[in-house]
Amino acid sequence: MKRQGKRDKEDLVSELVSRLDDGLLEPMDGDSAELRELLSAYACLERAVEEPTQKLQKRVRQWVRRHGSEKEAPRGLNALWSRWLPKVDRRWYPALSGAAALLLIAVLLVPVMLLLGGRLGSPAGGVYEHYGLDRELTQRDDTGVLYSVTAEDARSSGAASSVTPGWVWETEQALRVYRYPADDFAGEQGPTNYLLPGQAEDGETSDGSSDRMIVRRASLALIVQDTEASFRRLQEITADQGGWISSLETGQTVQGSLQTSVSIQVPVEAFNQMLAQLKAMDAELLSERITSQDVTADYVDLDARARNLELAEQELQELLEAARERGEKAQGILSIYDELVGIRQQIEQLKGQMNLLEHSAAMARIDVALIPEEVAPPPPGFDAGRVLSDAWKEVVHTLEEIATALLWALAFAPLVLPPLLVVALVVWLVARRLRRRTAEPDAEDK
Amino acid sequence: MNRAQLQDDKRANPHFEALYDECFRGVYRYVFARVHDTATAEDLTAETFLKAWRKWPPRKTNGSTPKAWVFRIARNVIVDHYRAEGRRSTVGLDEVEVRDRRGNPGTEDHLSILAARAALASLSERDQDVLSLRLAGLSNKEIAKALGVEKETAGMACLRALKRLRKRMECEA
Repeated sequence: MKRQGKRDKEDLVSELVSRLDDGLLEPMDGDSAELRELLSAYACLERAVEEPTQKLQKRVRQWVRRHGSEKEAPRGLNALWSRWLPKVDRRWYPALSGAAALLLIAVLLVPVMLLLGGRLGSPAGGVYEHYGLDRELTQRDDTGVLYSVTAEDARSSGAASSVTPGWVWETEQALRVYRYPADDFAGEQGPTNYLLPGQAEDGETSDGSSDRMIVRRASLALIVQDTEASFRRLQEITADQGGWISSLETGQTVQGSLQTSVSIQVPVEAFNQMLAQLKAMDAELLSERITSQDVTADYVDLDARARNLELAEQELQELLEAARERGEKAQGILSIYDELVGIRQQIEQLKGQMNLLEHSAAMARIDVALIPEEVAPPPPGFDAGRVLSDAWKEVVHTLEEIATALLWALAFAPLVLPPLLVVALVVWLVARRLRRRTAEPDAEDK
Repeated sequence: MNRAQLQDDKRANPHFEALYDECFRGVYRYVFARVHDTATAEDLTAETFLKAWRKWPPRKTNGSTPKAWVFRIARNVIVDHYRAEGRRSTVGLDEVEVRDRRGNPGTEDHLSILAARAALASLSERDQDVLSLRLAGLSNKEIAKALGVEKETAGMACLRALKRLRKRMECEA
């Protein structure tokens, strides 16, 4: 029965289709009632739809001809491009828009960066940077920079433990760092009635005077263009000042240039001059650190102990003589002798320490790091060229990473792809089902 | 050969002219059956042929014909039109009446025409599509190609749409 109904329906469809295709809408003999009704409904619809006029057909043809050769009117940004650059092919418009956007960003950013750079850049260069203090400068002239360091600054700049509260006067030419106790200044006023370093009597604050023993050390980091040439120059300067190179360490950087660290010993009298000459080299000063340690007290202490022991030694020696003369037993002589040897050893140790101090005070040590330009940290402030080259390096780096990621993905593809394909298939099927349902909301509404 | 020459070639293309003459009436009637408005139908018909001209020639796909291709473009134009207007693709009865500016109001013929249009407009989009393509003078085979379905499916869809249309028209009456 059901099958029969289905066949009837198929017959009805084919009959309807053939009648519609042939345009035979009038009822004919042998038509079923349903077919007649359907055909009449269609005939009614047929009449309800307008016919186009010949005039319209002609008009539309002309209109299409006229506008057909025109390109589609560009919209949005592309409309601007077609107005400004009518000769450029429209395929380039998206690229132009992208370039314009980048340019706009750059143009907007550069003044801001310059403004910030001018403010952030330290006028005193590496010397000021070294302390890692982001402080407003109080005073600045051709010879140096003066700024105040509070106790908090001194604490917070953990790396520079040599920073003590007070006023700091840093000179670029003499490469000396003078520190004044904060009490010497009237509050934040600055050194109103204080002798600035230029006027200060030399020797009192810097060079150790004859009866004082001061160990001086300095470490410099120089940015150089040619490490080898700079190293030769360094050797010359060292020889001129009567110093020598006590240790040398050379290595190759990632970029393939040489980086060298040198320790130099110079007579303390030549210390300042040496620093000045190093600074005068064809190199940029990245950082410097100068420390002095007063070891006078230690030395005096050592000296006193040594003298004491020497006195004791002398007495013991006399005692030993006396015992020998008296013909004491070997046991007694031996015990005195042991004591004497022990004291002698202590004296030697003390003398050695004193020697070391003397030498340290007599020869200052300067550590110099020669850093090739390529690996030097960027100077403060804004430099468009540097930013560009950095950005380009980053681009290359990113491309490498993308390539790496792709290769990894390729390697893992056999593992990951099958489950992904299954998921994609499921999603696709669901989406198709949903789409069909929305496209034919009442397909089964009978 | 540069773009301008290609354009010239296109303009002289007799095949497009032939297609235009063949399809113009059908496209107009198809669009009219979907939008129920003379002015809109004229606009959308012109837009359809402009798009067809710009995309000419149709890409070769097996089974499809240039005629079916033009009707597919017309269908997209209609969809875009309704999307742009932000409206349902089926218009209400009052709207159909208001939009009709021709005929002699009041006569029975006019009323039955209005009823037929209203019934068509109240159908689902799919049904409207099937009947409108039929009204455009396409054969069952061509309808199937324009809709991208089998002949049998198209015939069945036509039957069902007509049945539903009749039911609506009876309700009106």
